[in-house]
Amino acid sequence: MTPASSLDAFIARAFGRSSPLCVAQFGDLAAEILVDDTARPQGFEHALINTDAAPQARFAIVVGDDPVLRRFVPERVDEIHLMRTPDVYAYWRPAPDHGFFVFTRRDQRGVCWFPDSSAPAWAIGQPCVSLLPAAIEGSGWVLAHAAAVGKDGRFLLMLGPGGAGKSTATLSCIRAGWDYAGDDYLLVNPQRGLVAPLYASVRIRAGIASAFQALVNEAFAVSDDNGAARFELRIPKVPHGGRVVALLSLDRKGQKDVTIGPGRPQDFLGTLLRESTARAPGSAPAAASGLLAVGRMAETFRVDTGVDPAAIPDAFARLLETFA
Amino acid sequence: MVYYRTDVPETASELFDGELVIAHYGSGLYFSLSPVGALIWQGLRHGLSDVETAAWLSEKLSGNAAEMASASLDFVGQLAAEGLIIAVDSRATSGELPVVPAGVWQAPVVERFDDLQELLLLDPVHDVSEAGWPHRPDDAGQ
Repeated sequence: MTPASSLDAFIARAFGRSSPLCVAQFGDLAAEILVDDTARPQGFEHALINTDAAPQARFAIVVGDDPVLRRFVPERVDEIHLMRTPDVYAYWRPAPDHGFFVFTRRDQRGVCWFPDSSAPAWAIGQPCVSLLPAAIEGSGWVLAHAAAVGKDGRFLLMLGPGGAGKSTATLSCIRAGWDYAGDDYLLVNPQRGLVAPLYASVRIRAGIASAFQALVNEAFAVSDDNGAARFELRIPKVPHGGRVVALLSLDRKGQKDVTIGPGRPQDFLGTLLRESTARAPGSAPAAASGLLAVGRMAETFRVDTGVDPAAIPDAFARLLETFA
Repeated sequence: MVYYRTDVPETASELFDGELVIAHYGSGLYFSLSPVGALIWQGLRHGLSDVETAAWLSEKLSGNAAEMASASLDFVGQLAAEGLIIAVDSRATSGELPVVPAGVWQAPVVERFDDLQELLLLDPVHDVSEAGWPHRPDDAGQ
């Protein structure tokens, strides 16, 4: 029996334990989400964007120990394990928040299994994110660590490392009535110049929570991200995507006011490559060309979002107007 | 005189305002080539040999011809050593020869970043064999 075919038993078991939760939209991909009885009350639906479209893929989310699934835990449990073939992507994520993620292209089925009694909060805020690079490979879309807000179908794509101010800028714009296409992870199509949302959720650090208290009060989960609390928030307005008109390379330099100046794609590409492939190790070879091409989607600006979140939407609006 | 191919397996590259970025999954490294370095890479991609590329840039840019030729050949050697180009037996044209903006020669530079190495170097078939992970121990002998 080959490793790939042995995964059929894993997938069959996971789907056998699960029943439908919803059909979710991930960019162009509609996927039926199934959960088992342990996963069902954990709130995965809060982050998903529901759709009436016919599903092209099926993802099962299973939480908790299982005598059949347990047999696929690798011997060296504390090491990353990957298998990547033309048909199969399989990723064992080691402790502390270990999980096993499998996607098979031949039947467009994927499984997220979290062996502990509850799924980690990041996985509840970003359901199935580790399956998506394999599921969308070849579609022209790539999973990107970025945020995007816009108006009238024109979007600003924000790039930069954690702590650069993406979530602050995103929430400030949402509060000001902007459209939202994602925070932390979203989809981009460099050839078509488009951005599309994956989730209706935003993750914010405790440090900026007080600036968005009304939203934080409605947080559906609180993550522990390397010892730092992250609030998982559901965005009330249905997210949607559009055309990317500018790339914002966010970088805090201690400016008081929002400052926007010329930037270079080289300033964010390294971070984009690293962070975009972090949730699905092994995806870099397929995704790297697309991620590098993000730098050609639009003009790049270097942005310091300043100290007053309320000032961000006006500054961004002035920039957006130049692309009318 | 040596010809090279620039469409190297396990790499992805993109030009931005004259600078070239290359991600190499085989080494797990990420490179940024200065504008003159990017021109050299494009000359090789177009099918010029290392010597022809040096001569082409010497014609287009002002500077000491011998110094330009020497630095250009050294730079090609550096790209080859990093696995960003591969020597081939004959000329293989691919891509347009770019317009070289008039100016003074500046020594080509390749910057090398290793902060992606952990992610890019992950072996995509780690620990997998007929009897390896992921498998069910119960399957042995079936």
